[in-house]
Amino acid sequence: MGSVLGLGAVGLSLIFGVLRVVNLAHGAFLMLGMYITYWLFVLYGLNPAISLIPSFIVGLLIGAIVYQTIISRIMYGPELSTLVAGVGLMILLEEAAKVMWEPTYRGFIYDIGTVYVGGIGLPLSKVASALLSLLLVAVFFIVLYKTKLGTAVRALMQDPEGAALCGINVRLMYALMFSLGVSLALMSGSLIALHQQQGINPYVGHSYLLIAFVIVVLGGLGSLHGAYVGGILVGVIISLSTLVFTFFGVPQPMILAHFIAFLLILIILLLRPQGLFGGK
Amino acid sequence: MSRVLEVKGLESGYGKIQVLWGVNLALPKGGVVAVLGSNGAGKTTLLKTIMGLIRPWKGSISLYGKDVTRLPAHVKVNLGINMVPEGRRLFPDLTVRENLEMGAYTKRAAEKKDDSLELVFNLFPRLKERINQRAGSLSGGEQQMLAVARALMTRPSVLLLDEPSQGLAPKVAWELADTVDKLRGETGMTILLVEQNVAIAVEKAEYLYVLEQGRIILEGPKEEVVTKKSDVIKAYLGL
Repeated sequence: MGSVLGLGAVGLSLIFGVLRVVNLAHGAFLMLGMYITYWLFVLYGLNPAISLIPSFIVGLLIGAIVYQTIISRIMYGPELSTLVAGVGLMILLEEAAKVMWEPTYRGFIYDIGTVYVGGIGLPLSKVASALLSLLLVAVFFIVLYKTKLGTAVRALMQDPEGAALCGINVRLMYALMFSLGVSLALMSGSLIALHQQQGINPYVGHSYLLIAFVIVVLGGLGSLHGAYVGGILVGVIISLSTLVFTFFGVPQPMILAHFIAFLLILIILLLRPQGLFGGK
Repeated sequence: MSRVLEVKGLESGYGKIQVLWGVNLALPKGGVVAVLGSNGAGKTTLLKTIMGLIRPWKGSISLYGKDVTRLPAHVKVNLGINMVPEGRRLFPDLTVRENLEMGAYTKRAAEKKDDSLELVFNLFPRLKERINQRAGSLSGGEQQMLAVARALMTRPSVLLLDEPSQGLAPKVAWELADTVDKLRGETGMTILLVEQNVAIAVEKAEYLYVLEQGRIILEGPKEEVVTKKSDVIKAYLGL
């Protein structure tokens, strides 16, 4: 679960790190990914892992359109305008989803067996989603640290003007990285769908948006590997405390688990305000 | 004398604030030209506008006779003009090597990467010693060397230098200034030097412009400006 959350948070962190834009529509993008996987599975029986590909492509397309029509026009304006635009986009996407797919809770169970580790049953679909997200994040970081394109992205994050003077097309790069960030959100949503046996609805993005923000801040604002590690940490805290609360028969263990996660994060940030991997 | 870069009636600024008010300027091939001026005269704005980091409001910029007025910076870099910006604009978390490799980002520069690396290591042997060090961990002088080196990696034939001596000890500043001579000697580069350090500018350049409140108030061959118009120099530059 943590690894999947981390994937979405890396997308959010990428957009912030490169464009300095706080993307409040991130949760709505995640929701779209969930629906893509849900519908392809329910209507065509498509393997959820394969639905990562349409999620990736749809994410790139939506990202490019949103960048070109909205972000590129306001990203150099006051910070508030990108925030408001993000909220507007979120509402637009959510209401569109509501009209198209009705405001009901949906979900599916993709059962490919269960493994038992130390007496705890782990559905293989969840294990697979964790491994897939780990793979995607690994590919992302290899590209970021081992290729010329990746070095250019890191250069751009550190000094856009210096990057332009190296002949890097800064605006094109912004468009690409925004699209990629949106794609990561959709793919994260696709994998989260496996963990949501009945929770997919047009507004499901809200809670993930909040979690993603907390993860990004926990990892250190703009730190990409921080976002991923933060994601795992938050996922583990939530999963473990849910397990513990369920074991002791506490009512509403999930909600309490989120409370514990946010409480711990608050404590960590009190001790280390710059986040786990943030500089200065 | 053929003109490599020609700027005519250039006006630009930030938002609604106009900084440049009709600047005319020309660079002869292989020459070293300096722009002098006090703080806030518009020197950096002039270079940024020439480079395409700021959009010109009015006027024209031509490079080798071709109109480049509205081209953005990354396109201009590919045409063989580049700038060593004020404040260096390095990538602090990348290594020296990665910073240099970014300089060879464009296809045109990438083809000559090995040759360029040899050139900059000859010029700045110190950078070779620090090749795997983070750019942010270098000393001020080394960072300025890296900034010049990164610009050279893009294979410019015209180089704009924005206050290369800023924040450096006098000895280091002069060392760097000496690379101006080496560059024009070895590569025949055309150089536009912007300096607050009048001594360095006067020593290295053969033609001077004096910029004040966004206007060129004085220009001429160095000897002429320094001897005949010494009162102006005194008044504006505090010599």
